[in-house]
Parts: sequence; C-alpha cells; structure tokens
Amino acid sequence: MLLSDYQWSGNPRGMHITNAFVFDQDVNHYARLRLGWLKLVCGRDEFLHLVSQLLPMNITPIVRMYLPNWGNRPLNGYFRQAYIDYAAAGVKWFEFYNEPNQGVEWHDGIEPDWRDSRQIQGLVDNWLNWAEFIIQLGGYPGFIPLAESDTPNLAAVRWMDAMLNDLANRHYARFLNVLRSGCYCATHPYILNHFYQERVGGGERSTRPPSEVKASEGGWHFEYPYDPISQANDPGRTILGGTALTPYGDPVGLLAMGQLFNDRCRSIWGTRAIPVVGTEGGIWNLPAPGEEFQQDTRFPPVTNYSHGEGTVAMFDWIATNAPDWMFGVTLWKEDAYRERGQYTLSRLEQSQPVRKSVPAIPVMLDGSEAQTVGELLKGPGPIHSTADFHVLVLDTALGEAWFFDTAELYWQTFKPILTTSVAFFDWFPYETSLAVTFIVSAENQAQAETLMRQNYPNAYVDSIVVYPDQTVEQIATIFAQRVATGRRFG
Amino acid sequence: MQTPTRPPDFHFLYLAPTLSSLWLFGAARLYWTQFRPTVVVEADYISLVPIESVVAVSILSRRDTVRDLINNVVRAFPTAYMDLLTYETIEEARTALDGRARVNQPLGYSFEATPVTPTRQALQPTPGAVIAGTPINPQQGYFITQTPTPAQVPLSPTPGAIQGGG
Repeated sequence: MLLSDYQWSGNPRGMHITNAFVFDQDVNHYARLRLGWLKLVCGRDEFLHLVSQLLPMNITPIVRMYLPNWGNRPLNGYFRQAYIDYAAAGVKWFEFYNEPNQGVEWHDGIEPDWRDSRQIQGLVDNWLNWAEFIIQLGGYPGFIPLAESDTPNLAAVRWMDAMLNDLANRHYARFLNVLRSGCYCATHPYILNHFYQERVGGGERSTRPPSEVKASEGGWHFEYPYDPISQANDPGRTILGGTALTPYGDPVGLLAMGQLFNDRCRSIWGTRAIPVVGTEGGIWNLPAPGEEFQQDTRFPPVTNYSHGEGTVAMFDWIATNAPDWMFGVTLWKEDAYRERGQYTLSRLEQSQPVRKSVPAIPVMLDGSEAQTVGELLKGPGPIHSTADFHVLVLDTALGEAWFFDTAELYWQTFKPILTTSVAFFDWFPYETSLAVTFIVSAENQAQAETLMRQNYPNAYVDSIVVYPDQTVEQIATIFAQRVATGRRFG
Repeated sequence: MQTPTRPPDFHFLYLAPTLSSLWLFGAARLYWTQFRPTVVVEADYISLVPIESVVAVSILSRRDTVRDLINNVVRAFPTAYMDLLTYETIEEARTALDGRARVNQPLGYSFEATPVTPTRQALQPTPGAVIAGTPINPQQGYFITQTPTPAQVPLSPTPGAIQGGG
C-alpha cells in the first residue's frame, strides 16, 4: 500500500461536530469553511444521510461510535452493524476507543493505568479485532487516540508504548498486517499555546505579539517541542521527555503523538509512514473576544484574533511543512467555534486551504503488501489464545438434570453461557471467537460435531458425551475433575 | 421497547456475576427447565442477536447491582425489553421464578392477542395471572431509571486532558 492510496480530501482542515444525535447539520456550513475532514461521533445511524452529502463535496468523514464508559470492552454486535452501515455509505476512516487514559472513559471505580497489563491487553486484543473487521469493510482503522497527559499513570507516551509493546509481544504479525492494510493513527493534539510566529528579522526565537500575527505570512512554528524556544529553554527535550523537566514525556504538540507512533512502528514493524489525523484538538482553549490564554509562559498568549490566524496557519503548515504522514486535524469542536470562534470561522471561510501533496511512497520500508481480503468473513473467527465466548449447549434430548445435577461447581468456576440452541453461532462476527462444550447424548454426538465442523470450523468443540449406560454421577465427576485441575475443557 | 405482546425471538436470563451458583441451580432451575432462556453473566453475547429481533432480558440480581446490569444491557442491545428480577434472597427469587413457571409466564405476565409463532427460541404463552408484580416497561426503549429518560439526549464526548509538559 502506498501512502497516496489512502482516500481523503487532501485538505488538512477539519472540524469535530458538536454531539451525537444532532439532526440539523448544515452541510453547506462545512463547505463554506472549506473543510477537508468532518469528525462524526455517532449514537447509531443518525449521520448516514450527512455522509452522503459530505462525500460529493470532498469532505472526508471520520466516524466514531459514541460508546460511553466503554473501557476496554470489545465491540458488540449492535455497534458492529452501525460500522457496517457507515462503511456501506462510503465512510472509510473509523475510530473505536477514545482516550482510554482518562477515567471518564472507563466504568466507575476503574483508575486507568498503563502499568496494569489487564487494561492494556484488553484494549489491544479488542482493538485489533475491531481493526481487522474495519479492514474487511474496506475501511481504515484508527489507532487508539490518547489524551495528552503527562500525569504518571495517565501519561500518553507511556500508554502508547505499553500498547505497542503488547502488540509486538503478542500480536506482531497481525498488527503488521493491519499497518500494511490501511491503519492510521488517531491523535488528539490540543496544542495549547505551543506555537508562534517569528518577527521579521528577529531570529528563530523571536515572537510576534498576538495582535501582529498573520496567517498569510511566514515564520510559523508548530513543531513543538522541537521548536527553537523549547530547545533553548530545555535542551534535548523530546516527545518522550528525556530531560529532568519531562519525566513522563511531553506529548502536547501538533505532531507529538503521531511522531511517536511512526517512530515506534518504524523501529518495531518496519513502517515508513503511517497516516496521522488529529481527530480532536487544535489551538486550545478558544478565547472569546477580549480573553487570552497563556498556559505556557514561554510562548505568546492566544487571543481571539491570534487563534484565528494561528488556526489557518496551522492547517497550512500541516500541508506544507509537516511530515508526509500528517494528514490534518479536526478542531474541537463545532459548538465552541460557533459560540466564541467566529473570527476563526471567518478566517477559514476567507482563506483558500492549501492541499497536501502526499507522495506515492510505500507505507512499509520494504514495500511489502498486505495479506488482507477486502470482504467481510463469516464467523466465528480464529481463537487467539482464549475464545471470546464459551457456550455450554445442553442437548435437548437430555433432561435438565444432566446439567443442573452435574455442573454446578463447573458453572460457578467458569461461568459458561448456557443454552440449548446453536442458532446464535450464525451471527458470530469473524473477529469474535467461540468455544463450545456440548453435553450431548451419544446418538446426537456425531451430528453436533459435524454441524460445528462444517458450519463453524474455527470454533473449538468440546463434547461431554452421555452414553446410554452412564449416570448423572459419572458426568458430574468429569466436571468436578475439570474444576479441580482448573481446565475448562478438560 | 414496549412490553412484548408475543413471545420474544430471544429470551435471556442475565445473572449478576456476583451471585452464587445457587441462584441459578437452586432458584432458577424450574424456570429454566420450563422456558430455556439463554443464561449469561455478561451482556456482550446479547449483542450478537440481529438488531431487528425482539429481545427480552430477565435480569436476576440483588438491588445493589441491578443498575449496572441494566446499563450493560443497554450497551449490548438498546431496544431489549428488560424484565427485572430483583431479590435479596435466593428463597425470594425461587418463589417468584417457580411461580412464573407454574403459570407459564416467562416474563411475569401473559402475552396478549393471538400467539405468534416464535421465529427461533420457543416459549409457550398461555394465559395466567401475573405473579411477580408489574413488569417494567422502558418507555423509550433505553434505560430503566428512577426518573424518566428523555428521548435522544445529546451526548458530548469529553475533551482531551490538556496538561502541558512544560
């Protein structure tokens, strides 16, 4: 795959919509802003109609389903169908998890921490399944965007490393294939006031006051923390930190997390350039007229006016100065801009966007191609270490005693799903795996196993056969032995 | 969703994962034998059902966990009909569930109108008295809460943490 194969507008300008479940989007408003991206957070299918309007206007939609407090849960069937519907409508850019290094994204009581391998492994396993599913749809899966935190347990660079290291350790080949098949990295570059414009003739560390910046003139710096001011102030600082002032990295820059992702993937998987899109972010906060923000005193404050000039300049800088892999940012977010960002919106309306020229270079250093099929495969899919679902099917030819009088401790220990029906197996998506334990009469054993082998070849089948001369106590002994040895399948 | 007036296409018995096996093997044995719901302790399996299906989920739990379980069902299948079986003791649960089994009412009330042939999982509707109290009907098909759930509440994603490194 070539970097230029990715289908998008070529225009780095983007906006994040206000909310899910908003039904009165004015598509012409987005056209007037000359947007190239629109980030949609969807409750279900409320933006399908909007997608059909955006694409002819060369505005590329990015779709994330709104999954409140999702933590590291897997994709479920309900939202899976929504992704299928959006892909069918023409959407190619998708996201799944959102900022898992924030407590609000988890269930109550869970404190996110990159040092908790269960959190990381759950994210990695379920994201990878989702990514392969999106690729089957012909879409581009976005790697998990992180909040730009440097708080120790939430530190974005540590989270990124933890996730990529886990992928390398446990899923090297699968993630390699995802990288070669349309993966991109979603980031959230809220850049604060980490930008400036040089004074004419003032040198690389000179800064214009907010009232004197002009998007149409040169001298802009968005390369934080590699800009001259940062490096003079804290020599050697990188995204990863590397200085006494940055023990947990410094991810608060336009390129930062995208640069880290590309650096790591290059060194581990041999990538050359994987696209990066900021799916939230921009110059933040957005000052109302008369306000100014200066979160970092090394850089000039941001006013309502300089926010507008800086935002236009930022998009132009992405098109002309940023690495080939940096494709744009969707500004957080539409209602804030309508409320207090009128100057910025007016500047976007007035100025022609600069198109990014993406070179036709392979995304992999060795030019290797994906081994991916562009069709939705039937599930259940292959089991990766442990099946996602374990279902215990009781043969209806047997009475309930063959379960209720044999398997109480087994059920208490392993909690399999109990059913008498195999109808569900038809609806397993390919990215979801299945193991089945049958309690089956001898006369039905062959039929059950043949059915599984022919229709669900990836499922693991485990049969506990009840022969005519067997007693309930004998079957109970089988279950008891499994519990005693801690072996779900014997 | 509205209260089903016919047997659902799929009926789940969702047990709180904190309950001991006695709640299934002691309290719900007769109920399961009669109605054969699919028993789960996590809601994800429910989401595999095609979205056009009529799904009923009987949630067996104590009061302290019922809200979490409801939220899990909403995530898995927002239009599922939720039948709350909230009891504090196994004995209470057994009495209620055995009662439903005796009168052949899997969701605690009799299905109305002409019985419709279920498409997949068989339940057998017959007239009978309501044993386990009034079933809860989520008006908007979403959360069952103590306050009315407004329709289509705009949801705001959270902005990213913006903690500088300098």
